[in-house]
Amino acid sequence: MDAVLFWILAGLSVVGGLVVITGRNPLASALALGLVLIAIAGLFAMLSAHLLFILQLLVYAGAIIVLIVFVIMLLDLDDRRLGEMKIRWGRFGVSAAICLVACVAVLRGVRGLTGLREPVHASFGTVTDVSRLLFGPYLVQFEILGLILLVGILGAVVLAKRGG
Amino acid sequence: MGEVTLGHYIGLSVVLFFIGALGVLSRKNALIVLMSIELMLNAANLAFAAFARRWGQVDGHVVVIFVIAIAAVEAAIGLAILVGIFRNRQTVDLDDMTALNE
Repeated sequence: MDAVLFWILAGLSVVGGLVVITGRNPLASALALGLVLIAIAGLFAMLSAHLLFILQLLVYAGAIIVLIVFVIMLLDLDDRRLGEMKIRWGRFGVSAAICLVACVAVLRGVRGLTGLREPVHASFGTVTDVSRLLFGPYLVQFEILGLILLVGILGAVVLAKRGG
Repeated sequence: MGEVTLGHYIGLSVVLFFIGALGVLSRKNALIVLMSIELMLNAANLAFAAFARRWGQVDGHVVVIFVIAIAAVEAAIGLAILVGIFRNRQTVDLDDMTALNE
């Protein structure tokens, strides 16, 4: 049962990923990316990462995809510009060959990884469990993250307001 | 089908990472390059979650939360820059963005 679910989600995410990078229309790519993100959320759930499952759906599949789709519609690329966005198959082929070789090399390296220790404690990956670390040993990093988010918001507003 | 092990998750993560890398290397559309970067970040997240599950420690989940937050900031800033460039030059083609090269 677990294996079937894993292979379905893995297939969805790989096919979605290929659609993202080969899609001619950015909107199709964005929707495929949403599919990949939802599939990965499912994999998080299979890895008993409850909090990550929720965050992935809310932040990634929710906020980031909506932001990307919003910008695509804002730019409103017409057919003429989309025509210029054709994939250059020469460049694509060379890159694909390099990536394939690197991918196979790494995959051979990870083949020896086995075991997924079965009994994790019942609260593994719940909000309480992660928060105990997040607000304990990782408190400083967490606060810095808040600062980065603030700077990001200010930067985005400044960038979007200027120019025109 | 057999049992799903750590190697399966890491293998999927590697494949997704290289699909994203291929997108970054080969596409000229800045929007699709940004989406490919999101794909690569997600592949790394999957590896973190899988290793956290394998060793029964939630530290990996904390790192994933950090990565998700950074990815959100990166998407917001990247898209803002893209909108700014589009407003000035009417293009999202990376080969046309050569202002620093002239």
